[in-house]
Amino acid sequence: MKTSRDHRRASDSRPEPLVIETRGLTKTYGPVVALKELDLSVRRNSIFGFLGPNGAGKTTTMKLLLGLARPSSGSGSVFGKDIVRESFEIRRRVGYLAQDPRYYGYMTARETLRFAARFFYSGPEEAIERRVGESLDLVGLSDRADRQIKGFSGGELQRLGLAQAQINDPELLILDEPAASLDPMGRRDVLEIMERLRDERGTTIFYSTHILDDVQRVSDSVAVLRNGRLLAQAPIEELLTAGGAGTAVFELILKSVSEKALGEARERVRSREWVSALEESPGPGGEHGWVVSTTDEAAAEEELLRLILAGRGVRVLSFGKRRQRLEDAFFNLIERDGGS
Amino acid sequence: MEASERAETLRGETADSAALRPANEPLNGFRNLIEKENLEWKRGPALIAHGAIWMLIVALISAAVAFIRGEMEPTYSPADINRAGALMFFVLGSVASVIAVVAKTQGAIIGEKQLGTAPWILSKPASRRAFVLAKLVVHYRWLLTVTLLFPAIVFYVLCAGISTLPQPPLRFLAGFGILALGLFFYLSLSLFLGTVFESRGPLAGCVFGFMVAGFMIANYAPWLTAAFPWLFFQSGFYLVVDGFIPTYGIISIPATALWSALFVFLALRRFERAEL
Repeated sequence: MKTSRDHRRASDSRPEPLVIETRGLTKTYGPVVALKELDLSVRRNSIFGFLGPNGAGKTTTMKLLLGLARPSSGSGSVFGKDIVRESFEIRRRVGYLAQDPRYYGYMTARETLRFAARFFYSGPEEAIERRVGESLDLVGLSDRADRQIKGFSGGELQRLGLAQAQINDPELLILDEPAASLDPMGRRDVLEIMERLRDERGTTIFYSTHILDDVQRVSDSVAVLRNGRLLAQAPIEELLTAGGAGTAVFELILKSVSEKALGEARERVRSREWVSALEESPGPGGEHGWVVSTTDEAAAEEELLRLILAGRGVRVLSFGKRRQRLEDAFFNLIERDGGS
Repeated sequence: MEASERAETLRGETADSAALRPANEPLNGFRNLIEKENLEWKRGPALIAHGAIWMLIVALISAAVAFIRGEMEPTYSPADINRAGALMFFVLGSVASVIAVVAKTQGAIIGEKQLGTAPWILSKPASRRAFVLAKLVVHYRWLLTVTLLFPAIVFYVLCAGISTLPQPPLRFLAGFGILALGLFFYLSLSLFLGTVFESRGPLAGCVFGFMVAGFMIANYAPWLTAAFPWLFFQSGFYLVVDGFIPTYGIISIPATALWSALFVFLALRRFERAEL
């Protein structure tokens, strides 16, 4: 089944321009380095997952992009505008949901959205009210619109947070842990809203989360941060490809009429310089499982199957590229960096 | 059509159909923040509580003192009764200003930083200066009203009834103006300190400490009282009952106005650079 992500990939040939770009962005608090020389690129009309353990620097990055904190060194731009000098212009086009969003408890949900909307729009009042109503509908809070938010559950507050973040129909949504306090259904709803905003309104979404399954489901690109340093940044397909960029691992199940035929096939494969390893394991009914690690994905896709089938006596029962789960890729990166 | 082009079209259509006007003012968000601050004053119990407390302390106690002194001293003239009441009114009015400012505004900026509502607002295209100025304007409006204006009106009427001789209205108004300036000084000091400290205790301690220190310093370094509003109660009192302001009072009025302007400037400057 094709996802909206695959569909967009297929239809969009030109790369989208960058919405967020940072160069050597650094933030220190006294002796503590919260963010170290971050180079980040987020393309327009994408969902960009920003991952990392607690204290990795994700929230700091978001605050720097919004002008809520000032960089110690380095630079950053959003929509090509400088995050220090042109913060006001940036904020006009951005929606933000904080990690632990706090609003005025005495306000109702409708009043909160009206209050947020008036920073972006000077009127007319009926148009603002219409926008508020649409936002309440979008997050399913219309029936609770006139209740004071001090009685809201965590999930309701998070929905309100999403509503206020997109009240200005932003070109860029910055969401800090948008699904953290939600139950599975609430999480699903949030992800659907994010996908709708990207697909229907062309909104770029830059979000942090700890829920790796969610990232894998909706993100186009991912960056992994640890201790303020960027460990990896790549389109998610690339990150999920085992072995890293340009490399790939293929899994095959073979059946051969003789050991000789299998051995010849093995030699043909091993003779190629782009094959870095071949592991073999016996399967049921005389089947053989092969795991072929390669350093040139394109060459392997083109030649591997042909090499195996070149001789007689070997049949290929299944053939596919091994995909990691994002969780595996994430922990591999963290562990490679010396983390536990 | 590419996804991004389609999105621009959609965004344009949404904007056209909604006919929303983008807000783009030099102090963007000021009116919105003023409404919010006003709502906070009117919605909670603060307005009634402050109104009742300061009416009792500033107006009714001052009037009661005037009444009791008149009853206890049969030789007192209406002017003497007015004098006794006015002294109490200006002393209580100036102390009330400081207490009310600390009680109501110690968390005005710090509280919003701690709670997380300040970063929320300032992630929108809201001017940081608007954020501070809205607090200054609205708190001054309501604190002046409940701490000094209503009590002053009630005291003026009651005292006139008790002594049978109204205080000179213009001089009383000018004395009220001096107290109002003192209130503004402490409010601007409190907001400035709100941009300096991260918790309420030091702020409250500094503002109260400043007031108490002033009373003590007046005994040891009286010339310093010309630079600050510590003896504003005397300036107001002498102006109302004797028609003049002592020299230190004449100097302290413009000096206090300058200090207040400086505190507002520093508050705006610090908050402009604050990390939230």
